[in-house]
Amino acid sequence: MEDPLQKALVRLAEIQRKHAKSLAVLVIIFTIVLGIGLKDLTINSDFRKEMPRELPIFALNDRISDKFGGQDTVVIAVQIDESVDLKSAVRDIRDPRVIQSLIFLDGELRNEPTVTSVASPASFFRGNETVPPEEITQTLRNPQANAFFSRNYKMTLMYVTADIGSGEEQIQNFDELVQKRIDYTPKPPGVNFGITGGPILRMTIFDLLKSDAVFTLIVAAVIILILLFVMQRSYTQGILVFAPLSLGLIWTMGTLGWLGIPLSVATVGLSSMILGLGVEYGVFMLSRYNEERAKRNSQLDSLRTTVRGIGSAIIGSGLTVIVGFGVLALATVPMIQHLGETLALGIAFCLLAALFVNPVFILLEEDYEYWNTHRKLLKLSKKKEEHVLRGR
Amino acid sequence: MGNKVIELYSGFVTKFPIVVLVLMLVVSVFAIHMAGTIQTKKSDIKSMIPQDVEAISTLNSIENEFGSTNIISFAVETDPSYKGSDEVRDVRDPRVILYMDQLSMLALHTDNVIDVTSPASVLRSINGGRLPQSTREVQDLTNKNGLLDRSISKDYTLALVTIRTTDDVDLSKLEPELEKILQQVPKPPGITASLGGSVMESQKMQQAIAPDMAKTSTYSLIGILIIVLVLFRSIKYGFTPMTTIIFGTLWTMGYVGLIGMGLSSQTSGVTSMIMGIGIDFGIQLVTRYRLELANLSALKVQHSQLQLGHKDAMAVTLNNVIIPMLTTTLAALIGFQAMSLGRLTFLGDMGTMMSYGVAASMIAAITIVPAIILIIDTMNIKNTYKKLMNKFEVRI
Repeated sequence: MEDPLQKALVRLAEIQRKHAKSLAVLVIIFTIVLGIGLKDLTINSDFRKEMPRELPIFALNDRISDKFGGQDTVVIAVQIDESVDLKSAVRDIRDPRVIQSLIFLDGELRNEPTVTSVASPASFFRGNETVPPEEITQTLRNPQANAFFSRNYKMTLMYVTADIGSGEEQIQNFDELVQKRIDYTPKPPGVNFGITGGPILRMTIFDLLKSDAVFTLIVAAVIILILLFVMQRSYTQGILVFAPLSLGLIWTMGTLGWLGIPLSVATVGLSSMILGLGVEYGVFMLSRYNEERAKRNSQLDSLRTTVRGIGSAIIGSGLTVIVGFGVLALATVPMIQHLGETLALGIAFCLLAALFVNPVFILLEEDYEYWNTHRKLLKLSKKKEEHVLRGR
Repeated sequence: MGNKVIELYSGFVTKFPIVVLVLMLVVSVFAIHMAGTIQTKKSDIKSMIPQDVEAISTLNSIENEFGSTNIISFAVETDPSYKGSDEVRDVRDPRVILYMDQLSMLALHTDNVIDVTSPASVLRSINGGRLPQSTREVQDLTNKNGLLDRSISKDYTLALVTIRTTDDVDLSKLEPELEKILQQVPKPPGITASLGGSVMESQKMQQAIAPDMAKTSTYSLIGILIIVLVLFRSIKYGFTPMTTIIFGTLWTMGYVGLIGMGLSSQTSGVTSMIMGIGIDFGIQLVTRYRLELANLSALKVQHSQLQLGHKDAMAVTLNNVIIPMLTTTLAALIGFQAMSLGRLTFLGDMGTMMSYGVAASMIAAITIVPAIILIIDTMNIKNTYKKLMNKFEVRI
């Protein structure tokens, strides 16, 4: 007695053979519907959201951040530029001209509504109308001031804490604001102002995530496609494996968009991984179908054997991959949880694409080949007839 | 040419399954030894971001100039239990300042601690070297400038004692030492104190890796086993593909140990992923083998003169599955390695480790699995055992 799964797969093969074109149209409609979700796909660059925040240490650090604005602290590093060869260039970061710059910047930043606190050597001179150089030199002898200076007095730091919020746009605006204030600050020759800290790094990660997501996808897609061309020894056969796989990827990304699940540091490489893993199902499907056709079996028989034999195997192997990734939802680190969940979704879609789309595409491509060959043959026959009529 | 090599290989495996099995078991023994040397490593976020970005180069300059940026904190918080009691409600309370001073002194004398900054040390420096004796005095001093803004919160419920450690500090040794200090120094009433700081986050995550891996790997293995048993409806053919992931994972971990790669929070889920991916090869091989066996039965009915058996079925299987397996392995390797090609390398190690896993699983599927299947299907284990015993029997 044949088992129900095998029966269902044989039935599926028969439907695919009978309604190949209609199924292809359905696939296109399904892809368009899910593909619309792509426009809602967002990127989250907040690394902390990928951390196990239920652990006491994370809860404590979040409290510390809330109270001190640690997550939203921008550090401005003022450093001596050794390459400046001027007599008037600053050679000691405690130079009163540098401190005057910091006092100016300190005042400018503290006037901003989003800024909650600013700490730097300029903090020692707050409330003073004018600060003469002698007073600066005198005040900076305080050992507490040394915390702001490097041991060799080549660098000093300014900590700018702000209540920015979590949106990428707000962070971008704040970063630009700080950069503008730095640009406007009068600076003595021989010093560089650098900027770093949580919000700056987050925007850096955001930009890199965007470029990485596209870059890794293109690299993986191109190389895998070339590999398929080489291994299948045919462009069309390579595309036959790759096309359903691409659809699976579109469905996955579209679904993430529909569900409002953003791409993150954890899932930025998702596309390349899905391509790498999902290609297997199509390869097995196509090679088995070709094997059956090489035995001179009919399209329907070949499809029955392929969908039944390979179908049950790839359902089994697909499910195991989904389980392998799915269990990562039980991990402690959300980064790993999200990676597992999205990959499981991706593999599920690739499996569906291999089962439902691959056979349809294989049939359509074969039918097209038949039609094209006959068309060419007809054309050449007419030409040959003409040649015969004309004689030589 | 390629097909010739595959045919030669499949001929060898089907002819000498025991040799193949023994060879692979020897490799596995070495892998077990090497897997035991794997260590967990700290996930350093900074190292995963390209160093040529301005924000990172500035951060590196700060580290170069100021030394280590490994910061651990004693977070001292107010937590009064009773209304109207004399418990501390403001961290500027002299009792808390004195408490933080004691914590600082002890922390400073701990190995790998470079310096300690606390509200107490700041107050000492701006108060002629002595600690203020009243809340009013502390308030006057703290209101003077913004020096305490970074160690006392605006609502005065939280204060930080900042401990800077060396770059190469072993947190697994330092953490208990600091915890001991917290336990030993008597706290003023209404105060809680605990260890904080981003450095400690990675330490705590490291501690979560081992149980995490054990949990996900176990569930993965159970889930996969259920699927395979349901798929094949046979104990023998259900358990045989499992050897792909058992040996594949073992060899991967052995190799990871051999090259000293180490496990981090990013790679903690890699074992269950390798299992999920690696089982594919075992399933494909066993499915095809069973189909070929069924075909042989049909052939035998039609041509009774043909002498075809399990070895022929396995040879045909290997001849037909190696190329698709190789294609999918290469594609998976490309997919995983592409993850490392981006400028962010958060999951680069994971991609690399999974590449090893897929490659190892494929090797296991075309060596161990056919060898075991053939041994089980073609050998009379009892007779072989008897023969071996007779050979080694001491003749008197």
